[in-house]
Parts: sequence; C-alpha cells; structure tokens
Amino acid sequence: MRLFSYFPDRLNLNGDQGNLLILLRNLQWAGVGVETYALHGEEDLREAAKYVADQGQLAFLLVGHGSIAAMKSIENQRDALARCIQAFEASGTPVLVIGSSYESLKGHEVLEQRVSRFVEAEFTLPALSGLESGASNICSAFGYVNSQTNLAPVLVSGSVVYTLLHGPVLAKSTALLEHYLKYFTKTGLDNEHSMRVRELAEMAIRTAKLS
Amino acid sequence: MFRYLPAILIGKLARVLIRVFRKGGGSALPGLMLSRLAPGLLYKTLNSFPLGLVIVTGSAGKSTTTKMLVALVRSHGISVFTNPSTANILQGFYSTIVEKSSMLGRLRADVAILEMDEAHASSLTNRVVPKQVTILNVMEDQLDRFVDPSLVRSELSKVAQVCSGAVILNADDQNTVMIGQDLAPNRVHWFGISHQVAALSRHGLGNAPTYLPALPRPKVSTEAVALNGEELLLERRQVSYVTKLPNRGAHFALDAAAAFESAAIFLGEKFDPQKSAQVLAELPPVFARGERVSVRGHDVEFNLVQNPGSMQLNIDALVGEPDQILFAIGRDVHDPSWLWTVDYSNLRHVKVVTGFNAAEAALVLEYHSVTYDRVIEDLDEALDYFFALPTPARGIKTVLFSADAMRRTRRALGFWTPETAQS
Repeated sequence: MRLFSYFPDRLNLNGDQGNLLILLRNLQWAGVGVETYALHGEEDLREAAKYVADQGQLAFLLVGHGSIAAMKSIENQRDALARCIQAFEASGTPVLVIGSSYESLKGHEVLEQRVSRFVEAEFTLPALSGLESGASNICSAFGYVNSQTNLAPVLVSGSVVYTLLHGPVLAKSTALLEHYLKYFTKTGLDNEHSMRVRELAEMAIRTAKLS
Repeated sequence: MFRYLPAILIGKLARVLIRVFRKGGGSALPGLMLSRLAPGLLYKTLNSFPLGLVIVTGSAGKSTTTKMLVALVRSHGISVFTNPSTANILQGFYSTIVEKSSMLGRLRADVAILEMDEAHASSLTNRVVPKQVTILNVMEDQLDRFVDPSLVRSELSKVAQVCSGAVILNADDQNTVMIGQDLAPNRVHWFGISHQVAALSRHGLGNAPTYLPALPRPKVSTEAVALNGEELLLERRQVSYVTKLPNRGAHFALDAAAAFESAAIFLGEKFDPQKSAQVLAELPPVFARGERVSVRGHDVEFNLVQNPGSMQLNIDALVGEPDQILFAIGRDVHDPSWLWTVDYSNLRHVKVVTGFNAAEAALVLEYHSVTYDRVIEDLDEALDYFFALPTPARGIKTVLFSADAMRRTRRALGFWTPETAQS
C-alpha cells in the first residue's frame, strides 16, 4: 500500500500534508503497514500511475495547496499531473486535491469577495474499488475555506475529491477519513487511538462553529 | 489640536471607567472610540515628531527588534514614543495615543519608533511618510488575512518605496532582497546572520520560499557572526562587539542585528556601538518572548507562538526535555491549519493543552505523537492545574501560548499592566 504526495515540500502552505499524516497514523494505529512516497515531476507521476494500474495495488494520492510562487514553479507539470489523476480515477484509487491545486486543475471564476471561514459541505462519494459493499454514500466534510473562486467547497469526480477545505480537511471530516480508511482496512476507525481523535475532532468542530 | 480635545477626553474617560470595572483592560475600546471620533488625529500625531517616524515591520521579530531599537536610541539621549507589542495595528496606535498623549493629543518625544503589522504599515504609510523603515522578513503567516506571502512582500515593498530615508533590510531573506532590488542602492542598508548562527535553527528561520533562482546575498553592514547560548558576537563594518540576547535562539540574533543596524543608521555619527552592545546585553526579554517570571512561587518561561515560524523556533529552542509544558492555543487562531505545518519532534510531552482551540491543538499533538496529560478547555482551570503541580525537575515551567491565550493568561495570573507605551 502506498500513500503518494505530489511535491509535499511545495504544496503544504496550509498544512495540507497533514492529510497524509492523518491517514498514515490511523493506518498505523490499525496495525496496517503503508509506505509514503513523494512525487517530484513527470517521471514520478508516470510511475505512480503504473503502480495503480496494477490490479490489487492500494494507493492514495494527495495534491496539496501551495503559494502563488510554489504553484508557478510547478505549473509546467500540470498536464502530467492531470494525466496521473486520470489514471488514478480510472482504477478507482482515491485522490485528494486541495486548494490552489484544485483551482489550477478546474476552470473557475474569480469572485469579488474572498471567502475566509469554516464551511461544512455535504456530497456523495461513490464506492472505492475493492470495497465489498459497493454503495455510494452521502458524506460531509468540515474545514476552513480561504478562496476567491466560485468553485464548490467539495467536488467529487469518481474516486477523486477536489476540495477548498483546509484544516487539514481529514482532521475534522471523520466521515471522509473513514471512507478512505475502509478502502485500506475494510474496518475504518475502531481502535482506541482513532476513537480518541474522533472525539477531539468533534470537540474542534464545536469550537470552530462558535468562532 | 484643540479640535481633538473632546474626542481625546472621551477616550481617556472611557479608559478610566473601563479600568474601574476591569483591571488590566481599557486599551482596545478607547482606541476604537478615538479612531471613530477623530480619525485624523493619528496621522497628525505621527507627523509631529521632530525626528520623524521610524517603522519596524515584517512577519516575525517586530516586537523584539522594536524594543531593542527603542532602547538603543534612548540610550543616546533621544526621547522615543513607541507602542506596546499588543498594539501594532492602527486601532492600537489610537489606544496608545489615548493612554500617553496630553489632552490636546500631543506626545512629548523626539521620534516615534513603532512596530507595525504588515498590512497596517502599508495602509498607514499612505498618509504618513516614514523617515526610516526596517523590514525583517516575510513568512507564510496569517494566510486567512494575507492569503499569500508574495502579497505581503508586495505590501511591504510599498512601505519601503514610500519611505523618505533609509530602508534596513534582511540580507538572508530572499523576499526582502527582492524588495531591496527595487530601491536605490544608496538608500538600503543590510543586516544578516552568519551561516554558523543560521545553522543553530534546525528548520531555518522560516522565511517564505520564493522558488526562484537565489539572488546573491547583499553586502551586509551588521551581522550576527557567532552565538553561544545567549552570548552573541555582532560585527559591524569589520569591528566586533560582544553582547547578550534576552533569550536563546537564532531568531533573537537576527533581531539584534536588525536593531543594531537600524540604530546605527538612525543615529548616524552619534551612534556608539560599544555602548549599544552593552545596552542590548542589559535588556530584559520582551513581553512573552522567552520572558521568565515568578508565578505563584514557581519560575515560568512564557513563549508566544503566533505563526508557523515562531512556533517552530520556540519548539526547536526547547532545551533538554522540559517536563512541564502548558500549550495554549486561543481564539486568535482563526484558521488552525498552520498548526499542522510545524515539526513537533522536539516536543515530547505536554502537561496540559488548553485555550479556545484546545481540541484542535490536542488533535495536532495526537497526530504528531506528542503525548499530553490533560486537555482542559477552560484556561483559568488549566492554569490552576498547571501551577498546582510541584516544581518540575528542571526547575522551570514552560508556557507556549498564542496571543489571545497570552492575554487571558496574564490577566488570570494578575499581570494587569502588560507592557505599556513609554514616551
């Protein structure tokens, strides 16, 4: 099992690499071994796409949020990234694309006012490949939006979730986190550690709604 | 200035009344009232100092650098009006005027040396031309306000452009080097830190990367050459001066170099570097920046964490394994995402996690494998618990807190007058 992250050193402006840490820790707490890989460039993206094309390989790809300068530094690889994401989607492998990366890959309008606040979004997630029960489910996610675009807080395209939600989003989006964990473990959050963070996440959401 | 008399009177009266009912309070509201009743007063006041307005700005180190610079300038016989570190936005300046001005709004001082929030500096300098500006750095900070570090750099560049005199810049931050490129070379003066000192910060000083080819390092006038604990060797124009920092950390060394160079440029020929090194060595820590005080019979070190840079520097600066840490993240952290950009590996254990964002903070620690004993959302209760614990093995308790948690902590512990403006 592999957790891939695209340019983690450049796409962590809002702590979005924390999403990978959250997945990693929950898997570790569940006793599941998993490797993390940083993808830097077209060659790495091709290798990752090949990996998920092999049947039975479980993986996850995170594309974080970067500064204007960071996004500019990697914009010449945008098409290669888009192709890699397509390959992941074709194999039903989860991808999480955040913030400026979402904006870069999807057409959008720039609004007059910036939205800068906590947002709770509801959306439908299709079943991920490998899960026994193939039903899609309605999911919610909670995070902080800081965007001036007309993009939806969450956009789902097959196994790819695009989101404007920071936090990182998996920190306070237990349902979405559980969705990914079930893909890897079939069981989700059922150990002491994971229950503890679920409690803290609920407390944090209550606090966020007060602020 | 008579036309401002009614507004100032109302502001001063409000301050007195609030303090009757709320000890330690009465700074924000009177300032807000004055800003609404007499908006022009701020600009008139800041334009009235014989030696002009000096601004210290940037993402981090403003308070420490300003306090150092103010002390250096005062030690040379010049009276200075300055603002508390809690009042570095426009409303805060009005609050300071309410507190320190005469009934006619006059402030007795030769020069105003103010630390300024990055966004407010840009706004204020549309109406007041500073005589000298020091820009410390640009970091990935307060993204819910500033969105992107390149936009901060752009705002700070405007402040530098509008300055009528010298601009003092950090030679070791590519962002400030870029700002300097757009200025006439004879206006710019550089400070920096040596590789040796920089290497003491495990994660660097947190400057926002530009992802552009590195610009050559400008020739530095003042450099922090060597740092051993709190003992610092500064070098200016090939002459060395030994001084002492208010606390450990390469970031304080940078602040000292910035203040030293800023004072040298401001004072010109009158600048006495030997005396200045001595003055720096005798400075106490700035309010909550490695400040050590006695609370309820215990020695405590207070460390303010306001952004990824200061959180990282303070965590990296923890010596040994402090066995009693209180970690308080308050309401000032609107978007807690930045807490996840920090490397917590030098933080092994926290006694209590508290503050408005206690749950968020505990979540971060949990995922970063930092153990903690308790999460107590109520800050007063957390402080009572923390200070009831026996004296730690290391002899000193450590508090890491964000700005809102800091203010509440100080009030709860009876520090009613956190740093006031001095003129």
